[in-house]
Amino acid sequence: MNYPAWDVPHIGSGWVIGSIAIFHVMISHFAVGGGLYLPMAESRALKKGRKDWLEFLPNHAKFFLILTGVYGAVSGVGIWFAIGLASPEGTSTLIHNFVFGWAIEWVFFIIELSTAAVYYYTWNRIPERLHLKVGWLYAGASFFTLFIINGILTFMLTPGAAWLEVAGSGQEASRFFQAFFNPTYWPSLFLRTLVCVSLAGLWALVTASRLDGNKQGALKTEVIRWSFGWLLPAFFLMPICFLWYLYQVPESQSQLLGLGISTIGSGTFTQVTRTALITVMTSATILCIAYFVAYRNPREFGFGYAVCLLVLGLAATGSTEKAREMLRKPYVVGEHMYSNGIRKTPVGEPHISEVEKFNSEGYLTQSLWATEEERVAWAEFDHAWNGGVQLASETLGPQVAPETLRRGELMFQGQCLACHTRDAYRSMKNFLRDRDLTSIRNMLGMLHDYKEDSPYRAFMPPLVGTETEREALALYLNEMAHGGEQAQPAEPVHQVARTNN
Amino acid sequence: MDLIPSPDSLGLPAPVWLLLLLHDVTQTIHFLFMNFVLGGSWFLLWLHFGRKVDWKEQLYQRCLSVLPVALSMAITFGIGPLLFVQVLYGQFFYTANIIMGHFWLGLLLILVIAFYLIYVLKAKSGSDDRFSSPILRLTLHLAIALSFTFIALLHTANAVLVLTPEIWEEAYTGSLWGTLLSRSEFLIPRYLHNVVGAIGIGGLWIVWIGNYRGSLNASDQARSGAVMSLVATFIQMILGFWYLAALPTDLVKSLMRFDSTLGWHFASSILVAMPFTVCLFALTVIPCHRLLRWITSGLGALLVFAMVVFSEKLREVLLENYFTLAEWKVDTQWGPILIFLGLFVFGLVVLAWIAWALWKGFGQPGDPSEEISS
Ligand code: HEC
Repeated sequence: MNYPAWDVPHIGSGWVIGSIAIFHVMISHFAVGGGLYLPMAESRALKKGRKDWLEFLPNHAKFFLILTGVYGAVSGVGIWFAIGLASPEGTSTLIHNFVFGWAIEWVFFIIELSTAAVYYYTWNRIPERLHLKVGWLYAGASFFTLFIINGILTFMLTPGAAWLEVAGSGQEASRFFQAFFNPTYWPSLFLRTLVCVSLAGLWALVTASRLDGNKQGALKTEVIRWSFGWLLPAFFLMPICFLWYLYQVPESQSQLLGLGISTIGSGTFTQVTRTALITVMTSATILCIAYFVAYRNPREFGFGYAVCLLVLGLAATGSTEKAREMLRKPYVVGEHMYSNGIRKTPVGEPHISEVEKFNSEGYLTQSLWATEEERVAWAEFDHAWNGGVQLASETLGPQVAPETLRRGELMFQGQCLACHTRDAYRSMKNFLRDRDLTSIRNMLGMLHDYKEDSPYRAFMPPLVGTETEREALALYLNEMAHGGEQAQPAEPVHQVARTNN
Repeated sequence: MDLIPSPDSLGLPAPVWLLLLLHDVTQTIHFLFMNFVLGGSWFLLWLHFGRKVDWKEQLYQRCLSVLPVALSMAITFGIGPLLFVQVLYGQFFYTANIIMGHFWLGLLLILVIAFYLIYVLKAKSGSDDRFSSPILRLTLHLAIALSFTFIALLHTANAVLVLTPEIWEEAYTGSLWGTLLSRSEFLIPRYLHNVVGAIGIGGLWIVWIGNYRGSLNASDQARSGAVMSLVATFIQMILGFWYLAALPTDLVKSLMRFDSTLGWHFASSILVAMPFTVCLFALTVIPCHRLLRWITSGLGALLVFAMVVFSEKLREVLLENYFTLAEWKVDTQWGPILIFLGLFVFGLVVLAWIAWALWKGFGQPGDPSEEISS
């Protein structure tokens, strides 16, 4: 544990990232799809000599420009800030491996933004052919931002054998392209492109809904029907791409999903399955509304419905991203680094993984965020423990020493906070409400042993640290869950009372 | 106890000089845009009081149209240095971020709000309602300018934390701002140096805007920017001394003896600053002189670059006892680097082509700036 912990009360750092990410994904995917929509619509209008189409498009383009130039850029930076705060180790791995990937994406983003601005500002001011060229350039640039970021996102789920082979050896840089075009790269690219296209149709429906159905009835009908067409490819091709994607996901991960599907009858859905189902259902609803309300009665299709579709789109996007995140658990970089920044693969010399290292040397000996006093108290605790004497409860006060609790808290912050909060999202208090100290110890024991058949393996990293550190965590969790209550543990509590030293 | 996380075991994907160069160049571009955002938002507050005068009203409208574009560019070009600083100094940077915690993320929230307020202000600033609800507009202006000024403080605080691992523990466990104020000698002078510097370069943007096609009293417009720049530059010199005085004594001494590269970097910034100041002075006299404008702006950009390079060097020296960039293991990814550089050139070509397209478009009758602002 190198970095201090970023402790976000109640919602947890995961949700902070998630809530920024949902908007960012929605906006950026729309930018990609919209980048394609605009020049296609424009060239269609030009070919068919439809001047009235050209009146509706600039508005759409302006909306775009603000959305990407302002919210797309800020939310993108927002994700950067948030992941740096929440998982510095993981972010550091990604940036050191892929900084030039991001730099390339950044060049495309600058081209995207400038062409979007020019595309909007030069409407009717430069020759049509030239204007259309700017539009295609915009479409190309925005697609390539997706092309690049997709490599990095999929890398996190499936770094691929070539990269994993050298992970931790310091040779990672040499496998840039293998890591980039990793096993899930292509299916994910297709999936995302489909999502982009359908989001573009969705947003076009929003703009079209504001056309006046009485005055511009014919135009509105046409635009809506044409935009509706953009929703279709996704609905037919997505399932195929999705299966392809899953096929590439390592078995241990896809089990998270399979477990849910095969047990639908008995009611134990995994969270991944649940969230994936939300995606399927919202998508189906979107298609129904879009068909029955928009396609069948385009003139009456109002702004309210359009926003409704958009919200459903947001839900679908959000749950898909969520499912993807869940699928990656317990890793931040598949098979290499756990969500809490602990590396599974051996790093440096001696050639042992951080898990083994922390187990033997202690997790908090690496923590730089404890005071000298605390360290002294911990050493005393260890000493009393190592003496092999089961400290009889009567020699101890009823209170656990604050230094010990602090030790447990540091363990908690370093190893659990990445996915849990104390009292709200995936609340520790809730999980532990019905567990006494003994049962907490057992649970932590299972998490530490991390046996092949442990149910926790699917979504939690192993608990690391020495015996006494784990004991401190147990005491801390017990205090958190039952603090203030008169919870009398069944076994003698190993404590170092202040009177003891 | 030594609080610094170990450098990432992956090492660097490119030689240090290349990463530093990329960092410094992108940081400079980011600053050039940011300077107008920060300086311009205060300038707008001042202009706002003079909107009854026609040329001020025109300048006001034009600056207000440029502001969101510059902000968008400032953010976009900020991504560059954000990437490269993480590669070079990740172990310091992330720690500083985490110590700032909610403030660091809050920075973006303030940014979004300020962005939004600019659009509100634009919507409320049509020439017809130029006399309406002055209190509201004043509040909006203040809120926008203060937001950017506060964002600058957060950035400076983060940069200062990166440089001072010795105060990390106290700042993390105790009061962040209390620690920064009491334990860091150079937080305040560095901050003021950044803000006043931004106003100095921001003024140059106004010289350009004032000289734009169709300006009423172009020389008045441009002069107001030049004067702002000049005044800020003078104040900047005093702040510069304060900043120097706040740095560790040994460091300043070696700076003055020129026995380190840091000294030469310092000298070169001063060398650029002098002709820059002279040109600025001339610009307040002949604000519409085309060549002078180009020269002054060129020097201004060069000065920002020199300051960025100096700042980076300073970071290396201040962190010397903890970590040096030479400690990084380097394993260069030439393939991706070449693709990046190739695309970068391609991007520049595209931007040039776009500029050409724009010029063609706006070469037609009608004043585009009025269109853009609508
Ligand atoms: C990679 C993310 C992650 C990390 C890190 C993590 N957990 Fe979990 N944990 C989960 C998930 C996901 C669940 C299942 C939540 C659910 O069922 O709603 C869970 C469930 C639990 C439960 C309830 C399980 C049960 O059998 O009732 C406990 C207790 C728990 N975690 C404790 C911990 C502790 C202690 C740590 C730190 C050592 C930790 N977790 C670290 C993801 C994580």
